[in-house]
Order: sequence, then C-alpha cells, then structure tokens
Amino acid sequence: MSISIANRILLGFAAVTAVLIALGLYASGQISTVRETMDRIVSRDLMVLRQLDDLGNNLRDLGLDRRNAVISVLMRERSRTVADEQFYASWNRKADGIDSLLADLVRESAAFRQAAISDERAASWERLNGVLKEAVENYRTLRSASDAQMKAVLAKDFDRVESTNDEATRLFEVAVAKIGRARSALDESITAGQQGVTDTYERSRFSILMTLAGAVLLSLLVTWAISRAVVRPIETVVAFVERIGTGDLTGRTALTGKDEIGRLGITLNGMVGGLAELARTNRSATADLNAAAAEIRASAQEQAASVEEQFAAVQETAATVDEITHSGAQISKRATDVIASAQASAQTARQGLRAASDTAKAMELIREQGEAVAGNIVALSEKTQAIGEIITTVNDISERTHLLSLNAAIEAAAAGESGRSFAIVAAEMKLLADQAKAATVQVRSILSEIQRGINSSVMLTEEAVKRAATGKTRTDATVRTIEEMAARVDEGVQTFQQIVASTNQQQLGIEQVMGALQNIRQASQQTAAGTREVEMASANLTELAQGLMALAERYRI
Amino acid sequence: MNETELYRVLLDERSMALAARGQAGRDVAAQRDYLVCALGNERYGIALGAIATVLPQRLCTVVPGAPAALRGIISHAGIIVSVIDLGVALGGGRDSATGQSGHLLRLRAEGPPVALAVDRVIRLASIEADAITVAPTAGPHPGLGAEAVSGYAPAGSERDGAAGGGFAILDLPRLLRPYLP
Repeated sequence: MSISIANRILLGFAAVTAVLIALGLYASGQISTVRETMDRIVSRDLMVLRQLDDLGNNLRDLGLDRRNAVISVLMRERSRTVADEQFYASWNRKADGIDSLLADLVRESAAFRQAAISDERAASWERLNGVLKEAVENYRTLRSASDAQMKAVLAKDFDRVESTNDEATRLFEVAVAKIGRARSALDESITAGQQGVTDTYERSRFSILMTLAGAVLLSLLVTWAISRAVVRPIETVVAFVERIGTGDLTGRTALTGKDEIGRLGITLNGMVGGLAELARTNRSATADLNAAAAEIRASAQEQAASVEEQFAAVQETAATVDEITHSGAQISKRATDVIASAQASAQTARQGLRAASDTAKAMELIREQGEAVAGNIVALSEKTQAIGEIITTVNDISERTHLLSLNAAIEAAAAGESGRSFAIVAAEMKLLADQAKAATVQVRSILSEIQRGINSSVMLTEEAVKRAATGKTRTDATVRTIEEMAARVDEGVQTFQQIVASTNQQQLGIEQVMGALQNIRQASQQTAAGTREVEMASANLTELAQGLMALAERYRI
Repeated sequence: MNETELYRVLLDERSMALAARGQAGRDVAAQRDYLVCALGNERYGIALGAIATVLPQRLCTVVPGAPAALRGIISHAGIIVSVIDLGVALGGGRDSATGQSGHLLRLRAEGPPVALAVDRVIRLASIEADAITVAPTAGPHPGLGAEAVSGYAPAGSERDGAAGGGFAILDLPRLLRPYLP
C-alpha cells in the first residue's frame, strides 16, 4: 500500500492506455492487412485483367492484320494495285507479343495461385490457369494455321489463302472464346478476392471488438482498484469530517500513512486539534464576549444616564454662561466705572502729589523753625542759668542774713532787757531771711522746673526737628509712593481698559460658547439617541453572544 | 498762689507778729529762749544765753590724738576755738555729708573756747517753763546719752505758736564735761 494514489491512478491509466494503444496498433494492423489484401487483389486482378484486355486487343489486331493481308491478296487478285505492305513482319511481331503475354499470364496465374489468400481464390486462379493453358494450346494451332495463310499471302498464293481462311477464322473465334472464358474465370477470381477481403475484414472486426471488450474490462478493473485504494479512505475521511461537522472534535483518524490519505489524515488530526483549540478559545472568547456585551450594555446604560446628566449639565452650563454674559456685561460696566474712578484717583493722586510736595516744603519750614526755636530755647536756658546764679547769690545772702539775725538775737539776748526790742528786730530779720530763703527755694524749684521744661523743650524740639526731617523723608517717600500709586493707577486704568476689551472679547467668546453649547446640546441629544441605539445593539449583541455560547457549547472538545 | 496773694499772706503774718508783741512782753518772765539746732533728723535746743555767736561752717584743722568728738580747731577773731561735733558727742555717728553746710555755735562758757558743730541752726524758740518735760536722771535710752538731755519741749509749746516740732533741751555743762579740763 505504499504506492501513492497519484501513482496508482497513473498506473491504472497507463495500463488502460497501453491496452488502448495495443488495440489501436492491432486495429491499424488489421486495417492495413485488409488494405494490403485489397491492394494485392486489386493490383493482381487489374493487372491480369489489363493483360487479358491487351491479349484480346492484340489478338483482334492480329486478326485484322491477317484480314488485311487476305483482303490485299483478294484485291490483287482482282487486279487492283495494292501497296506492297509487310504484313507478315507486323503479324509475326504481334504474334510474338501475344505469345509472351500468354506466357506471362500463365506464369503469373501459377504464381498467384501459390500466393492466394484463400482456397477459393486458389481454385479460381487454378481455373484461370487451366483456361489460359487451353488458350495457349489453341493459340499455337491458330498461329500455325495463320502462319501458313500469311506465308501463302506472302507467296501470293490465292487459293491456298482461300482454303486456309476458314480454318484460321474458326481458330480465331475459338481463341477469342477462350479469352472470354479466361475473363469470366478472372471475374470469379475477383469475386473470390472480394470474398476473402470481406472475410479478413470480418475477422479483424471481431478481433478488435474482442480486444475492446478486454480493454473495457481492464479499465473497469483499474477503476475498481482505484476506487478501492482511494475512495474508501476518502469515505472514512468524509465520515470523520462529517463527525467534525456535527461538532465532535474528540476523535482522531487512524489514517496515518505516507500516502496522500495518510497525510490528509495527519493534516485532519492537526486541523481537528486546531479546531478543538479554536473551539476552546472560541468558547472562552464567546464567554468573554458575553461578559463584554453585558458590560457594554451596562456601560451603554451608564452612558445613557451620563448623557442625561451631561444634557442637564449642558443646560446648567448654558444658564451659567448666560449668567456669565450678564456678569460680563456688569463687569464691563463696573470696569468702566472703575476706570472713571481710577482716573479720578489719578487726578486725586496728582493733587495728593502736589499736597505732599507742599507738605514736604512745610516740613522743611517746620524743621528750620524748630531749629530756630531750639536755638532760642538754648539762649533762654543760658538766661535761666544766669538767673540760677543770681538765685544762688540771693540764697547766700539770705543764709548770711539768717546767721546775722541769729547772732543779733543772741546779742540781744545777751543784752538782756535792753536788747529785747532788738531781739524782735532780729526775729523779723530772721523771718525775712527765712522767707527770702523759702522764696529762693521756691524760685529754684521753679527754675529747675523751667530748666527741666527747657531741657524737655529742647529735647522735644530736637525730636520735633528730627520728626520734621523724618516727616520730610516720609513725605518724600509719600511723594514717591503717590507717584508710584499714580503710575499704578494709570496701569490700573490701562489694565481695566484691557479688562473692558477682554470682557468684550469674552462676550464674543461667550456667544461662540453659547453657540457651541447649543451644538453640544444637539450633539448630546444625538448622543442620547445613539446611546439608546447602542443599548439596543448591545442587547442584541448580548443575545448574539448567548447564541454564540450555545453554538460554542455544541462543540464537544 | 500769685504774687498779690503771697504778698497779702506775708503782710498778714507780719501784722500778726506785730500784734503779738505786747503779749510777749507781758509773759517774758515765764519763758526761756532756746536756739533750735538740727542734727540729722533730730532737733536739739540749746539755751540762748550759753551761745556767743553763730558762725558758718568752715574748714577745721584736725588735731592729732584728739578724742573722736573733737573735730578740730579753728581760728575765730584771733582766738583758737575747739570744734566739738555735737552728733559724736551725743553718741551718734559722724555724718560727713553735713560737713560743708553746717553751722558752728560759739559757746559763751568760761574756760577754753569751744564751738559746737551742728547741721543747721534753725530758729529761736521761746518755750514756757511749765511746758518743759524734765528728763529723768537715768534716762530710758542709754545709747543716746540721755544724761546730757535735761528736758523735752513738746510740739506746740512755743509761745508765739510758730510752726515746728518738739525738741530735746541739752544740758551743755554736762555734755561738755568730758571734753573740758
């Protein structure tokens, strides 16, 4: 069984073809045999027929020559001048030709009898041969009789010519009759040849038919063998494939050879393995698809909900954008107001700048006046110091007066009764001294207060000068600040003008946004419709996936 | 208090003092005169008759080997006068802060001339004799040298009713006894 199917089929076809070739060769051989036979018969018979015709013609010419010779003799006899012709030589030459023709005919008929294709043909050839032999005998007598007459003609022996003329004519008739018999014998031979050809044809046809039947039988045999070698395994494979078709992927074919069917079985096993793998994959994929379809449906539902929310959000956004538009208009209005206010502020800042500059100048004046006040106060302090010196002097005087009054009182006491009034004066003096001292103490305290006040005034004045300087510095700083502020306010004005411009652009943009929101709203409506379709489609998909699951369950792995 | 008011107060005091003059002459026999001196926060009265004159403080020449109470000696009217620090003599500490502005009391006593250094002589005081509280012989305050104090003039005991607190009356002979030969 190791011969491959292609080789088997090739072998069968080669056998059938060889049989057919042999049949064709045999048939063509038979046909050529028939044709050769026919050719041979036709050529032989025609040749013999033509020779017989020639023989008849020659014989008739011979008779004519003899007659002409007789006629010339007769004419001369009647004293007519006749051209002296060589009748005898011509006659003799023709008689020789007839001799050779006859000899050829006899020899050929004998030869054809030997090589006859059938007994009938051989018999007819035998008969022809016999007839020809009789004709030869007859011709010899005819020639000898005619020869004598011709010699008489040549000798101008009129009587002898006349006496032999009947015999010669009778013999001539017999010879002509013999040639007619030979022709009829040849006709028989032709008929026999036709019969033989027909026999050969029949035989050939029969044998060709038989060979054809054998070839048909052989072809049937080869077909059966091919059927047995090819169709049965293919039927097994077909059954296996039908089993696969019904979904049974568990089996494997036992056809594992080296020929095509074996290779087909191996390939089918691989294919079934692949199909089983594919079915498993398909089953899992279908399960996944089912789950995914369910998820898609859930997602589609969620998406529908979110699209609803989106729609609501878009509505809210539209409302918000509308509010933004209103607020943008208000912003623009307020910004315009702010610009006016800022311009007023800039004006005020310029006024403030002038005021601050005036303040700085005033501060400078205050500082100078404070310094002058400090100088005056210092001079005043020097005056109070002079006063303090005077008071010291007065104090000293009062102290001395005090002691003096005391001594006076002592002296008065020492003077006794006479010094009593002096003692009163001394007491008065002492009282005055005490009062003067108290006054000086009071003046000193006042003076010290004055000096403390002066000191504090000096310090305050210095502080005031310092503060005036600081105030000037701060006023300068204020001037700069106000300048910066004015610059900022100008910038603010520009900024707010830009804000106004931006707000106008924003209004335009918001109008575009409103248009876009309108589009979004339409789009979200379309999306909602699309989502419903998606949901329906996912429901269908889920059903399809379940159908696929059922289909996948059909495969037994 | 403006100047006019001050002037009016002065005039009132003067007129009151002048009005009290006759009354002083009527009660002269019943009163004693004291010179009130300040020594720190204390007030001491010294009999007016025992004092010759009041001098302003001046620099004293220190006498070597002298007692602690003897501040030094001065020259006054051509006479060498010993200066006794009254605060030290009464048993107190020497107050150096009062050295510049104090007063010296030149005493009228016999014997070597002596002056008492006090912080300040304040005023004259006339005390009625009945108002003086006589000190006991052995005083209850031995640390203060109570023996030299002969009595105490309470506040408000002055005849003319002048303002001022009370003061201790010193017994000069008893005070100066340790320093005199």
